[in-house]
Amino acid sequence: MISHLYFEEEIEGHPRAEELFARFPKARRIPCSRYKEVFNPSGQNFRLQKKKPALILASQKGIKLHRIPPKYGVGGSRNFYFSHLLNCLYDCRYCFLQGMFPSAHYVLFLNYEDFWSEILKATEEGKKTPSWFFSGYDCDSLALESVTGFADFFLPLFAALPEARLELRTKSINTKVLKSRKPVSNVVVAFSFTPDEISERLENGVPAVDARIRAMHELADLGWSVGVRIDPIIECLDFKARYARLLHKLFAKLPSQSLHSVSLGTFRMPRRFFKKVEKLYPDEPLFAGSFDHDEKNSSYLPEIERSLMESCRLILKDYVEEGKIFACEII
Amino acid sequence: MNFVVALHAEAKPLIEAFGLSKASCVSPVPLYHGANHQLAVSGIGRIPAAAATGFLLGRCSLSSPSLLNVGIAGHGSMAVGEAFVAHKITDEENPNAFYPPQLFDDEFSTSSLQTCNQPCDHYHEGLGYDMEAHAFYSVASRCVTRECAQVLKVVSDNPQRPASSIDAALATELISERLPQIFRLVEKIDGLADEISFVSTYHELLGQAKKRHCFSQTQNLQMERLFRHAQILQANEQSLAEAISSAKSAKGALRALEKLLDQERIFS
Repeated sequence: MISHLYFEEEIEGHPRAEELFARFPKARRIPCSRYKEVFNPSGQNFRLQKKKPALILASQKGIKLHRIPPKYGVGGSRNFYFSHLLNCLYDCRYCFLQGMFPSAHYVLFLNYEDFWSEILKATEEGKKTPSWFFSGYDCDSLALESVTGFADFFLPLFAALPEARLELRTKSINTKVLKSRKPVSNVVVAFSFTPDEISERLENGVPAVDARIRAMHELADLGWSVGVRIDPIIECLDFKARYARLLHKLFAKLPSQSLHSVSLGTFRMPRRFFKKVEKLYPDEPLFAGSFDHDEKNSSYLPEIERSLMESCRLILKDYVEEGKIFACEII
Repeated sequence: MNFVVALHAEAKPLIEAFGLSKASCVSPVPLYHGANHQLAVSGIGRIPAAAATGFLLGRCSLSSPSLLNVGIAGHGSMAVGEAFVAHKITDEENPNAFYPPQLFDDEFSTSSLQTCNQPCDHYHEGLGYDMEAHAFYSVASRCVTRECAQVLKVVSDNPQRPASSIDAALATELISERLPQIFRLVEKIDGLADEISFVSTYHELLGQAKKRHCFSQTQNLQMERLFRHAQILQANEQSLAEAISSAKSAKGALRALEKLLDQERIFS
C-alpha cells in the first residue's frame, strides 16, 4: 500500500516510527529535515499523487488545537479541531482538502502525547463548559486506523476525561477499534453520507452507503453515541427523492437515544480552493453546477442553498427531534 | 518529452533511439527534436543545465510539458551500469532539497542524489553524485508539474571504480544499455502529463467566438470557462453557435451562453 515513506530525521527511533518502518518493510525510506519540504512545495499535482500517495512521518511542532467557527459545532460552545493526520484514504471529488493541500501524501504526526497535553490544557481552561474536540477535519478519523493507531491511543484517554468530548468523523466501516471496547460516553462517532447515486459518482474508494449505515447501526446497538453528517449536500437530479431515501435508511431503524446529532451543510468551499480543484478536474460535472462565487467562498446560489437545506430539514422532521439538528453555514 | 543531457556522449543513444534530428533554428545549446520529443545538450554543470532547461521550456507549446534529466552519475553503493530515479536531490552548495514525487511502479530503483562542483572522489553509502540535477530541477519545478519532471541517472563510478576511469565511449555505452528503462520512464511520465491536460472539443467554436466578438482578457477567461462547462454538460454545439452569432457584443455572447448552460447545470 505504501511504497514511499518519508520521515523527518528527528523522528527516526520514535517507537511509532519504528513500528511503521516494520509495517512497511518494502517501502523506500527517504529522510527529510521537515515534512514541509516534501509536502508544501507548490507545483505538485494532487490528482496525480492521489493515485499513489506516500506516507510522511513527522512531528507536529506548531499549534495543535484550532478553534472551530461558532456555526460549525454540534451543540457545544468550546469547539476545537486537531489533526494527527493530513489527507484522507478516500478520494471524494467534493472534498476541500484537494484545494487546501498542495500534496496528496499522508502526513502522520506521531507525537500523540503532545496533542493530548494540549487537549488536557484546553479542557482544564474551559472547566465550566465541556470542550469539544473534532478529529476528522483534515482526514478521516478511522479509515487509516490500522496504520495510525489513533483511536486506540485516544479513546482510553477521553474515557478518563468525561468533561471533554471527542468527535470521530468517518466514512469508514473499519470500526473494529470501537467494537472491541466498551462504548465511551463522551465520544461521538459521526458518519458522513450522500445518497447512493452521488456516492457512487463522487466518493471514490469509500465503502458503499449501505455498508456504512450497517456499521453505524451496529455501533449504535453496542451503545456508542453516533452522529450523522449530511455534508456536503449536493444539488442533483431527483434531489428530494434521493435524500428522502437516504434519510429513511439512516434513521428508520436507528434508536433515537443513540443519535447524538445530525448536521447539514450544502457543498461549499473557499473560493481559492474551488479554483484549484476546478483546475485539477476540468472535466468534473460537479463543478459546472450553479455556483455563486464571491471573493471568499464558492457555494450554490443562495436560493438553491436555502431550498436544499429546507428540503432536508423537512424530511428530517419525521425522524429527528429539532434540537439535534445543526446547520453548517458559510462563514 | 523534453530531455536535458549534459554531454553529447550521453545524448547520442537517446538521439538515435528516439529518432531525433538536429534542429536548424538558432539555439544557444545543441538542440535535437522529433515529433514528440526534444533534447538539449546542456554542457556540464549547474548553470548550463539550468539555462538549457529554461530554453527547452520556452520552446514548449504543451499545457503540461514533461522533463527528464538523463546522465551518468557516481554512487556510493550501486553497481556501475545500474540506473536510478532521484527521489531526493540535494546540492552541496544549497540547503534546499527537492523531492520529485515518485508515482512509478517498483520497476525503477530510486536513490538520493547530490549535485556537486566536481566529479566525486569520496562516496557515501546510498547517495548518488552528479553535477546538474539540482539546477535542472530548480528550474523545472517552477514551470512543470513536479510529477512530470524527473531525473534518471546511470551509475558510472563508485568506490570500486573511480570517476577517472570514465570516457565518452563508456558514457554512451552505459546510457545505451539502459534505454529500455528510459523508454518506460518516458512513457510513464508522458502518461501523467496527458492525464492532466484538458483537450477542448469546442476549440473551433471558441475560436469563432473570439473572432466574431472583441473580448477583454477577463471576458476571454469567462468564455473559456463557459466552453469548458459546455463540454462537461454536453451542450448542443449548434445551440452554442447560434447563441454566439446572434449576440451583438462580447458581453451579450457571454450572457447568451450563460443562459443556455444554466438550464443544464444540474448534477445527475
